[in-house]
Amino acid sequence: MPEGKVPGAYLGECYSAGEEWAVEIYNTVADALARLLNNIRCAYTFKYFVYKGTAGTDMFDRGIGELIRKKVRQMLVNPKWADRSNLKFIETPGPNNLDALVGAAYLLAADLGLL
Amino acid sequence: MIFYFLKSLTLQEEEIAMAETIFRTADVGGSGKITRADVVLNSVGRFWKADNLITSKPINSVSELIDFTTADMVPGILGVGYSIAGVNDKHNKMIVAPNAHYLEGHKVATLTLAKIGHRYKSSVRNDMETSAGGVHAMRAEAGIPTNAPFLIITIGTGIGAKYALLVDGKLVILDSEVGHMVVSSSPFDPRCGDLAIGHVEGIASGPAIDRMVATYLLFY
Repeated sequence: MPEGKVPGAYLGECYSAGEEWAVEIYNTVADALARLLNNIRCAYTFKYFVYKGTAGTDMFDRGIGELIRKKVRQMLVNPKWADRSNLKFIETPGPNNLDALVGAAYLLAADLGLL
Repeated sequence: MIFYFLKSLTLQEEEIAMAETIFRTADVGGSGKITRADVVLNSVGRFWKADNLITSKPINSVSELIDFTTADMVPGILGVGYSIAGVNDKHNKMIVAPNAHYLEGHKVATLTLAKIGHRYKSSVRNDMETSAGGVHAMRAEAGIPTNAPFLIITIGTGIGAKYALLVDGKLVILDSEVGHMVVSSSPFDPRCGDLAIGHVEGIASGPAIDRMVATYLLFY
């Protein structure tokens, strides 16, 4: 690995370049996340999965979402639940953890009985 | 979209008059830096804008955190809300703060009000709770229909998630420990932070991925 590179970022670059070892790791991670989503989706009828976090965002930027969708389709009791219209991956809106800043305000407003 | 989020003009009097609620909020990040903003919500709790978005240098004490968070308060602010990873007691005292151990044992909200006065309100919330609340307030920006429940999942140092749904029009945020859901039965899977094998956090979190990269580069 080149000096000064973060492992996750290096993995992403190698995955995008089609290197076999990186594709294998992405498959392993996608498989684990697909199993997680299968369990959740079987318990609740959620369509919207909002993701955040450095590792997650980088992988979703590189297309792991469609890899997860393909895998979870094979696991779900109803494969249609994995269709784009029924399973949506959404990046957290806003920069600089804006969601957390806005949420802290929202929850304080709710505590104060303003909502 | 970026322009919409980043417009950071000083609040003008007419804007304050139009706004239903303005809060000073702070997010305690993993790097030790704090980001603060003046968040304006409209009358139904939807996000309107964030002004004065500023990130600090690394902070190492509760007094530094409060000083940074409450600096340059504009007129009209109703309260100070914190978003901090970990476990808190009654939205006030930090019990566990993995990103900011210096906060553990401190009643952050009480100390904040002692500094700025009791005419304000203050509360401390878990960072995943605030993320869920924030996404709810920004549904339009996120493309989530008004009443649709959603799951917010963080894939970073660990894997965490909250369920957000509306009950009688009120946001309800449910806890979960999805990071410790078993997703593999192989005895060769790496161990999770709690030493169990097969947890999704042991396979798909940032540190787990880093370990896999190191192993592949070493042996292949």
